[in-house]
Amino acid sequence: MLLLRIIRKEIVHNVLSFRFAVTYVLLFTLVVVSMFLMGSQHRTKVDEYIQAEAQFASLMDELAAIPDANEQFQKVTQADLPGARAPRPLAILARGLEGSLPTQVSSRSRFDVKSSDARLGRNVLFDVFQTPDFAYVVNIVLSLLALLFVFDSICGEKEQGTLKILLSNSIPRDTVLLAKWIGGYLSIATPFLVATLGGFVYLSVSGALELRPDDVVRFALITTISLLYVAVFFSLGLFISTATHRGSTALLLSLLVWIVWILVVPNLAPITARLVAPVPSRQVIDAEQQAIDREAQLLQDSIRERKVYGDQEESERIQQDAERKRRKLDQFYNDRMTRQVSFSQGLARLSPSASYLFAVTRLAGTGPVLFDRFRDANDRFQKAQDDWRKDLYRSGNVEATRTGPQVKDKDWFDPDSIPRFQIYSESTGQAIDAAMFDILLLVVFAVLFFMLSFAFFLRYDVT
Amino acid sequence: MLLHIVRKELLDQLRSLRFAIACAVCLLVMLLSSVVLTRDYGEALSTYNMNRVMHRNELEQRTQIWSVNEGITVDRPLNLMNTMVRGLSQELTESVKIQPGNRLDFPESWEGNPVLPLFPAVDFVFIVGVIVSLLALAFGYDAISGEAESGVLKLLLSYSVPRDLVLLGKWIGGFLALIAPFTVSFLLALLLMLLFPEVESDLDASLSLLALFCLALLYLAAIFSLGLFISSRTRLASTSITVLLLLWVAFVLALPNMAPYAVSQIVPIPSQESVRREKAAIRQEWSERIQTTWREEQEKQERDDVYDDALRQRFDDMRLEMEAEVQKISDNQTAQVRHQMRWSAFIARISPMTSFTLASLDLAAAGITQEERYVDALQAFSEKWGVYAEEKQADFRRVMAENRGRMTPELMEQFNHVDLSDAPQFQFSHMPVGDRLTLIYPDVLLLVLWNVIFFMGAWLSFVRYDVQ
Repeated sequence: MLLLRIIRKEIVHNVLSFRFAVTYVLLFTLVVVSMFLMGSQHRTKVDEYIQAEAQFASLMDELAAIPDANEQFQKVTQADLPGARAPRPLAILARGLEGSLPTQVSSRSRFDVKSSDARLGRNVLFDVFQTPDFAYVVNIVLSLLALLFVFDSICGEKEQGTLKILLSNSIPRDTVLLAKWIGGYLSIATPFLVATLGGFVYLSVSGALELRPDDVVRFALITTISLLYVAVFFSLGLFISTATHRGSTALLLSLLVWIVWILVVPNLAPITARLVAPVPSRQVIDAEQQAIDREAQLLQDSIRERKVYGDQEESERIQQDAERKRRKLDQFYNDRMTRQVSFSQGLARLSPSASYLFAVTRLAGTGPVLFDRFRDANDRFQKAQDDWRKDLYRSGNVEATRTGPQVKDKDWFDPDSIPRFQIYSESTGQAIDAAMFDILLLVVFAVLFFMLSFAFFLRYDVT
Repeated sequence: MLLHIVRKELLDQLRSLRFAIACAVCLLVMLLSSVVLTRDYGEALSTYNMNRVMHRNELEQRTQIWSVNEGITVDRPLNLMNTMVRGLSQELTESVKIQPGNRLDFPESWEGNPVLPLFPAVDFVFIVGVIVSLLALAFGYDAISGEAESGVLKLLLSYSVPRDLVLLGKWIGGFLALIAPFTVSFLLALLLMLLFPEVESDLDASLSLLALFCLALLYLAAIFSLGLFISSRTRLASTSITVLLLLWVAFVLALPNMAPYAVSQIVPIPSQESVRREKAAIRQEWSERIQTTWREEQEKQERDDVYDDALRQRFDDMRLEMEAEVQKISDNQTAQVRHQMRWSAFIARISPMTSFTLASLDLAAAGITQEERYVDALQAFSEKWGVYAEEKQADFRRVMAENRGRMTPELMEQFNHVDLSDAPQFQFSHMPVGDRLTLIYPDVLLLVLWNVIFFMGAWLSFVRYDVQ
């Protein structure tokens, strides 16, 4: 078939070019090195997590071994029983917000603070440059390489004179364009797939990534979305090529579009959103909540001094009032933050780069939703710890005396009953549903650019 | 002759599409960035002022004597240069809780907008380091190879003009054409910034800005020279741009990012967890020793209330010993981290982009050195606060010792209205310009070296270039 023949011609032409060879080597190196480095880092984080869990287990053993039940009770209630957060395996592909969240939460305080050790005890150079994960390589590098590959696909051939020869045969123009698209896309998608597969094999063999079926499915989905993203830029490059008549012009336009669309728009969006939809800082909210508490405390103190019958109800009413105000304040903060976040995302989505990043981090479980889930998990954890401590007293096992709490049952301590920190991650189906909007946006971009190149090529002057 | 060639190059560039694109991109990006980052700075300034008032009020509302041990929350002074160079942290403001005994509590940042950490800020470093450097390549890639392809080079060299003059003329003309839109955009961006009322410029900031601009020119010159070098080694413009873009991807987008990860595999640092554990173990041991000592004293003196000056002194000595050991662990960890950082920076400096970025960060007082200075200042303040707390509590301790640790409500009453308005203030100023310039000279030298290497490479290649 004619289409297949032109596709083959395109592929052969591309594969034999210098550009292909160098792109292939660079792409392969970047993808594999990225997976190697991120895989090794993930392994380090997993080791730290295992150490944290082991530390917790040995703390339990230590507490269980205390012979005197009263002393044991005192130590258990005073101890910090921290929760550890397991690193997400697919952060190897898309680190997202994985590095922005603490790996340990304290059971004694809701607000996590960093000590000066944590502040200085890390290599700050990690923060200076963006993480070179798989998503970065595809998002930033592969998009440029795709444009580089195809920018002179039409106008370059016109300059060389081969395009007019090709079209002097009885081939419909749409077949030519389609063949160029398929041939060129296969030329760039194949090395990319090979590199990704190579990376996957390395990760599985080295043990950095556990071969859980769910993770493999997500890995495959992330690769597919990456291929879709490449298709967007490939179509864009083809469109630019059909809109220009000189290779150098096409190149400059491609660079311009890439700079504005990949480097400028998505990076300016969140900070612009912050200015347009500001949210008071968490500290201000906390300070206001403390003021509410102080006010309630003062009112209750003044009631206590009065010592009039019926004051118990009023005291409770004041407490409930304060609770309600605090909840309202929390609600206000959450609403404003949600508004800012959706504004950031909406503005950033003007660029397919942001759509890609949102979709991929969603599937990797490291996207903006991770902050919400972490917060929920932390709230749940703190509440469960509070309830557990209160239950120790309420169970009737412990009597408060003047010399301190007295434990009645010597075997009261059950390490398994201590609440643990657990983040609930969404299922793959849910992640796909959530990422569907961004995926569809990418499809729309790809189709749009292809249609535009189609429209322009039909009118293209090949002389 | 040189001037003629420079003029010819300049006119060629000014009439080209790439010049128009460079003007559009530089103007758009620099102005947008200036507006957004300066407004953000303005917001941060009001937050900072509000926080300071809030923390001061919080301090004045304290009444109990032991509340002085709760420490104080201080705010990091803002840095005007953050309107140009974002620096290492997402947020421009920061409130740190300082307590005596070197306890610093930094706030965690995960309560904010989760979309922000996903995207790097479009500040001056990003614009010059990535965007304008790409434009520099676009200006230089076909300087030799493009003219060779079109036949113009052959004509040019048929005149009695030495090749090195041609190359120099091309370099000067091309570079001037590149930096013209960049300079104009930079000046407009500065002007825009000064229109905001929150921006108060001082001599340090102005000098730093000037130095930053010169640094940017040096970096762009290096990239432009690279473009010229590759152009003089290839015969087709398309080959030049392919090679240049691939080199650019490798050295600007990939190497600096990958270097710290690669180095961390070879030069590991102890995890936060293990350091925390070691320190907790030492504190635990000290706590047990205190208990044991207390019990021994009680047994020796055959009574319960043994807390007196002598015992307090012993406890203090033990505490100082414990803190010295804890400090040793911190120092050891800091040394290892510094070691890893030095190696990461060394490997990353294979790319001129790293030199530019790190030097810019230091010039803007937003880099690693500044971080260390800041934490040192906080630690010094913590000690100062510790001394202040001791002085304030001197009377309280004396009365406690007199009553052997047993305080009645009447005795406590006199200590229930403490006045903390004379508390020390946290003062921190950014590095003076002279220090910043001293800090960056290795990176500046490295950039000069890159310039020399690439230009010499271009010269050697062009002198042998076959123009047929």
